[in-house]
Amino acid sequence: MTRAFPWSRLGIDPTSDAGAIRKAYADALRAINVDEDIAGYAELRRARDQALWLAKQDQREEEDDFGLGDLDGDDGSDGGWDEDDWDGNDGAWDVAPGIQTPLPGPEPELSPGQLRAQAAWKDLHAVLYPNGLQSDEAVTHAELDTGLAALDALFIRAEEADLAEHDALDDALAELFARTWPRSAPFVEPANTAFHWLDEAGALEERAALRFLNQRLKGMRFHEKVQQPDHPLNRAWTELSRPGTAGMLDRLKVKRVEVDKLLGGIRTRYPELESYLDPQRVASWDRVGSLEGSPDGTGPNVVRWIFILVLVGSMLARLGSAMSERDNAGDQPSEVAVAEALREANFVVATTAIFGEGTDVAAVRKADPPFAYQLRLAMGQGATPEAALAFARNKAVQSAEVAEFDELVALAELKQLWLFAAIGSPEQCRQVLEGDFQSQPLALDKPGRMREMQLLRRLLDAGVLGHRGKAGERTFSVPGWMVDEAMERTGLGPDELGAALRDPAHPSRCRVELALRTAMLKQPGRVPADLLRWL
Amino acid sequence: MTSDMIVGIDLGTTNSAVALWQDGAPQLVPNALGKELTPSAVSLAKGGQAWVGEAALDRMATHPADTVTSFKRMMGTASTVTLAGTKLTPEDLSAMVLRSLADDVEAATGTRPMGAVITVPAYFNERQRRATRRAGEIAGLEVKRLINEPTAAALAFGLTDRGDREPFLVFDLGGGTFDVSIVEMFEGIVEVRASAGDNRLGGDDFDEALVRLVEPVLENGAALGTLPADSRRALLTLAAERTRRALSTAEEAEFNVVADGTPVTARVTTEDFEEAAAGLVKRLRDPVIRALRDSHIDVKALSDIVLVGGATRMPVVRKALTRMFGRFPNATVHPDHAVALGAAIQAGLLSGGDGLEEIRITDVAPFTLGVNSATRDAHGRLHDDIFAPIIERNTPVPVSRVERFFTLGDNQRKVLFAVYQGEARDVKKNVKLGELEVPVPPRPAGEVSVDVRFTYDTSGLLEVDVAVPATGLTRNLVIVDEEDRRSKKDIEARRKALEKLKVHPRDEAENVAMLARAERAYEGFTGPVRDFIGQALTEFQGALDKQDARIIADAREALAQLLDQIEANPPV
Repeated sequence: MTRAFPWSRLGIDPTSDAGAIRKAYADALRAINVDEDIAGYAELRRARDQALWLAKQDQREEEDDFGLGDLDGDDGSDGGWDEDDWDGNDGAWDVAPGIQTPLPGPEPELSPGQLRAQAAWKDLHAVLYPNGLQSDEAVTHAELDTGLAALDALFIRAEEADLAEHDALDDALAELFARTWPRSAPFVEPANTAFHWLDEAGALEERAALRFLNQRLKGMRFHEKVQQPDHPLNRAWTELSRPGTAGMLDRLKVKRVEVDKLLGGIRTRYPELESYLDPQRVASWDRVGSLEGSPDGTGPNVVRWIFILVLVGSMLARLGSAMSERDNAGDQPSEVAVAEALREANFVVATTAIFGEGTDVAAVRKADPPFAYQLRLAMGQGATPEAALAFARNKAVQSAEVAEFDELVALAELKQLWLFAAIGSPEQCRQVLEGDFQSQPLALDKPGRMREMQLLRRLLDAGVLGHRGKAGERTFSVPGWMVDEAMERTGLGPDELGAALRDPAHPSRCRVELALRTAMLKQPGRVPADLLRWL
Repeated sequence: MTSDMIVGIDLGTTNSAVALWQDGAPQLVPNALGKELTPSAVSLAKGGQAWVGEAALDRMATHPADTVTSFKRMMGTASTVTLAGTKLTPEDLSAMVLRSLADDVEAATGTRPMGAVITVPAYFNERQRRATRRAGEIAGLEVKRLINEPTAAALAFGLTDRGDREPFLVFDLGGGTFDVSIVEMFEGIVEVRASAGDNRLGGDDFDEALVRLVEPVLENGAALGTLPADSRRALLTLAAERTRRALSTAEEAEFNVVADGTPVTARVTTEDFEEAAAGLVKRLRDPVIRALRDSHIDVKALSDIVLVGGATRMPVVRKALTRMFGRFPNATVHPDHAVALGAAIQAGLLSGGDGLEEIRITDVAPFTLGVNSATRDAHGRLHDDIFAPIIERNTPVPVSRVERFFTLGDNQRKVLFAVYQGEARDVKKNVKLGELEVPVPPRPAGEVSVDVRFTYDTSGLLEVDVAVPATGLTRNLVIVDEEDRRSKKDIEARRKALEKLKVHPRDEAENVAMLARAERAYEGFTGPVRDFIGQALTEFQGALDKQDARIIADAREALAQLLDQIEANPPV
């Protein structure tokens, strides 16, 4: 009877006894000189590995494996577990599977490090499953912070833990992120840095969850690269990202094949990237195009994004000349003041004008000494309360450079208040946008004034008011949802809105900026960081 | 012993050792000083006087500019050192150490060894391996095989009882390199499952961390400032090594050097040192994880964590390991001897030594080997310098693989292959091993194919064969490495040049013989006579250390007379 490979090479009958296979392999290996029979050695290795694998399969069947085998089996397809696999799971993932701990064993004897890791895991879990439920919403800024802090704690634990725990954490994070995609998106890259997930990409033994995440990681990287001007598909990407329908001219400028290649590519490999494109534009190419498949690019959960260039005029340092000269003298007193008492009186007037009746002057000094000092110098010339307020407003604008999230939100609200007050006068509106509060006094209504005091006080307490900002023009992308919101509020069409965003002197600019800020303040965590800071 | 004797040599960063397969067991051969470890140090003086080993290390503090250690870290690079006006490559320096080890074997056995198995770090790259092989040749040794250090250590560990062993991990942290191998033993087969490492991490780095730690807090530190920079560095490094050793057994140690007669000191606690070494300890993790991943072995399935290499004595490393694996590592093998003993086992295997008939070793290629390639994307844009792996890392060796490549341009006349080693997709981030060019017949793009075959042997050396089926042209191309092009004659010339260097008197046959004779006498007697011989022996060694030919000759004469006398009139 002739035996089939691998048994023929090993010279034994089929068996599920690993020991017998190894013995046969060892005997066969001793019979050859591996240096002279490289091919024979390779074949022998293959025979042994195959035989051991078959033996394991037999054993598994006997043990009635619980169906895990096919998860890491190589089905030859590139995608493996793809998004569909996750969604098409009878909604099994829609409900959070409870807080599971990746740490070994339920033993009560956890080390302090393990306890910290467990707490961090719970935090991260809570961020990814808001209210214990699966969510497609993007994380807010605060949630991102909490999540990243928790993730950092877990990385630290992984660094100091033994390798078994390290691997358990690695597996558990991959699993968690795969299940909570796309909400987990901002956490995947840091985890990749810590655990080198991409190194496993394409490997046969790539974990199922990683196969999914690595595909997404590559998508994010593609997204970054395709926006570079030298990328072969950059023109197609730019074209498809622009709002509105593609006109004749657009079709001449961009090659059809490039558009098809891009759309085809991202639809098969990185479907999540299509949400970055303008659906209208994509649909218009799809309609006319030779592209197969229906133009159903916008799935139910897809957030619509539109990218528009915005030029934000600088809102900085337009100070009255006398003031700014004094101001330039520096933060530290260089000369002994003669009229100390007079200045002190002026200072009280100024703080009252800015922060309201009964403000504790000492507290102001303590909260932000540089600001207090600058204000004193400014008031030394006997400036009016109006000038003091204008000074503080300008300083608030300058603080954007160093402000943290909470202060930026406060600042956005301040700007909303000011713009609302100036909306009647395009001239004053422009001045507000440039940070010029000196030329015309800006009068707020009473509730507005009260709110302004609170917000300025918040900036003061955060210690950012004393910062000296630099002037400069900046360009940004505004996400689609804000544009949608702005269109709704202003009643402007996309073309007019685009024009207003591109041109700081546009008559509708003021209304548009106000609308953008209102949109922004509704969900500040969703706003790109640089936009939140500079708009 | 016949002259086809093969010795096993551990050519280390800090220390080297030589061992033989004898009477069914590996045995270390002591050097002229009776020590099993010979420091990998070389010192030269004007006029061609040379010191190797302990004596060279002794000169480190007094002649730092003419003395060199840790040259293993330079292997495979183009850098050279100039000692007392003589320019030496790292191969030359290694060859001097190898020659001194061969001398020791000759002194011990009466036979000059002609063949050697030399160990290299598993993560040594192709260039470093070739350089090691050349060093052997310059030393007059035919390098029968290069064997990976952790594999050698695994042999020494695993063959103690010959039993089957579940996969175990060899953690080899030497003076300058770090290797991790996962090894399994069954039915007499020693199978390396995976290797990973960092060939720029070792005990030396911990010394440097210690120097950085104490430098700012040294008492009388100003005295150091008056010294030339190289003396200063040498003093500090030597002191750091002493302190590091002291810290292995104590909670606190004194770091002290004497600069121009002024004692310069600092106290270092284990805690300070641990903090200073934290960054280095972190780097120990990645290779372990990679080796486990590549071998598909769960960390819990490891039967043992075997420590090899002098640097694993450090409590800071052991602590990190215990934390990493959640259990205590196995420290039963001698960390400094295991590699040489394993090399001797491999030597015994090659020469058909007794009791090794059943043993076979299989190893893996620790890194990926491939060529650069270019490809056109759908837009006709050329993407160049993409790494095309031919042999993937942790493939069992020997291995031979062929890949077919096609021309990219119409009427292309030649194809230029550059051979790389590494894991990055962009070849620029990998190590370039060499390049070769083949002419191809001019045809439309994609019509001409070129087959590239990589053959990686058990010593970890690569051979590249290129065939163009269209013309029948085949080429067996040695990698175009300038150093490698050197013919046998060049190596011979280099050997002659090095032989002109006068080696330290310790290694002169006469003295070695006298020492051996005195030692034999010492062993042959007991009681007061033994003590007497011992005293005379010490005095002779003291004379040798003076390095003055006349004093040595006198002392040798006196010792000879004494021994003659005693042997002629043996006291009952």
